Amino acid sequence: MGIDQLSQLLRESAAEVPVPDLAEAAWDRAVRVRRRRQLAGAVTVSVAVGVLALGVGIPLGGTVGDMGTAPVPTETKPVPGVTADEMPDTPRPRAVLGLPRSPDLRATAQQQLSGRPVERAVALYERASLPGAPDPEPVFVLGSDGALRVLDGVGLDFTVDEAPLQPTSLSPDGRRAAFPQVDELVVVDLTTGRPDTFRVPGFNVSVRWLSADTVLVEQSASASIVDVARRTVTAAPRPTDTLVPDPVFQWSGPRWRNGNLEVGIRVGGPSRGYSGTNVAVVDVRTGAVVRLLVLGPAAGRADATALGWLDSDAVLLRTDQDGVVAWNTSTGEVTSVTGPFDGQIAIVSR
Amino acid sequence: MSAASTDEPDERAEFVAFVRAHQHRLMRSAYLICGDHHLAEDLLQGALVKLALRWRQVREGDPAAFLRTVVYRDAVSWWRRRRRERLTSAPPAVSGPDGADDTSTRLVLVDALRRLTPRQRAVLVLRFLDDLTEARTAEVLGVTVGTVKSQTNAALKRLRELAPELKELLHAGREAY
Repeated sequence: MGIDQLSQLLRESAAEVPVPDLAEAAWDRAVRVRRRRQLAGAVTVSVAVGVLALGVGIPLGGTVGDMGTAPVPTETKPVPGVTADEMPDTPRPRAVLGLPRSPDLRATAQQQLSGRPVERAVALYERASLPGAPDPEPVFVLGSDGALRVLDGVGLDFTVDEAPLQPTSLSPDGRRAAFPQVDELVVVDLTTGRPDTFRVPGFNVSVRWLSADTVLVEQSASASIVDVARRTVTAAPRPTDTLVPDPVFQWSGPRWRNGNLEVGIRVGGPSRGYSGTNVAVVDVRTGAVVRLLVLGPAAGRADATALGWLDSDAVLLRTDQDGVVAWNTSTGEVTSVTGPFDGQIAIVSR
Repeated sequence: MSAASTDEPDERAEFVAFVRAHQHRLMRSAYLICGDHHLAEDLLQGALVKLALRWRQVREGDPAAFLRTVVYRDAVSWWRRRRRERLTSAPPAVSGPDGADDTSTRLVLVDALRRLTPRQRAVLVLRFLDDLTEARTAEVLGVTVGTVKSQTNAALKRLRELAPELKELLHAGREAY
């Protein structure tokens, strides 16, 4: 037997594997995922409109825009000469927020949150579930003391399509975590380990903290605002995007506000291949892209998520290939914060 | 671009046609890496969703290469985790001396493949089923050509230990390196 026979034997060994037609279902699921991601990115200022219209005087902060002015969608404009940084092949390691490069996410290796609550969490982790798993993997909480805990006392389920932990699950003060569930929102007080449930009927697909006490919960065609402190749930208008849809690029996943700047992941563009994924900082007053990080052609960087602003200059993002990296939007430097991580992560954002 | 772009009938039809032309080969590769057709189906489905999300960007490039990369990397990732979590101490199955017919040879090979590391399985399938060069195999898996060579040699050596009845075939494979 030679190489040809080894190849032939491999072909024969797999010849009788049933091959269902997966194409239509994959396309339909991608449509749902894309809509959810667009919803997640459309939240920033439009939420403020809904809140104002309802007369709910919620203090907004962090990632949400100025409450004093009604937002006007601004058109994203390419700016000739805008600085475009290149993602390095192997970014230099940098310690950030005490995030371990490779966290030990074995439930048996860590204490339960209820027995050792945190003063403040800096990150939440959830590993990707094995295909067909009946339940999602446990959620882990990284405290500001550097210790990991496993979230206990609450049975989280998969959302419509994905894991319950989202990049936007951690409150801006690091004291609460929110998880969308079918017909309800689960909020865990990380300083006590105590979960709370709010009834939000329907297929909830994403969450976004508007302040330390209020969460926007979104469905495909509606949204609700949950005030955790007052224990109220209020219908909100469906968010509309703050930026005029671009005919070339499309936003994907959450966008994060820092003063007049907003950062998020853009896909598309005139270039072919996989080179159309980049991280863009937009001046929301003008819609102008003021800084770009080009992620390059690697398939492992085709799927990227913006995780928030680390400080006034640096943005945290994550790719399959790199894990979490920090991009300094002033200097262009990209540093490696963690190794690759197969699952979801949320990091406290300023 | 808007959400409707994913709903474009032409793009949908184009995507469906592409997938139907490639899914058999990818499903078989995924099966050989996983050893479980349900898991292989889930992995392929996940990879197809990733492709559909980026169809507009990759369709005029090399969507087959994109899909292959995602399937193999996800498969290695899943199995690395699964192996870490569910590693058993069961010794490798010993094949009987009379397993000389084609069916038993195939079963012996599939069983032996299951006992390799995920990356070793992936390297063998990419090189010998998908007929990729060492350089393309390295690119798909995100490793160096040297790693592909060493993993191939290690995989063939391990297969010879696990399935002596495949010795002739596997020696032939080794001679290619």
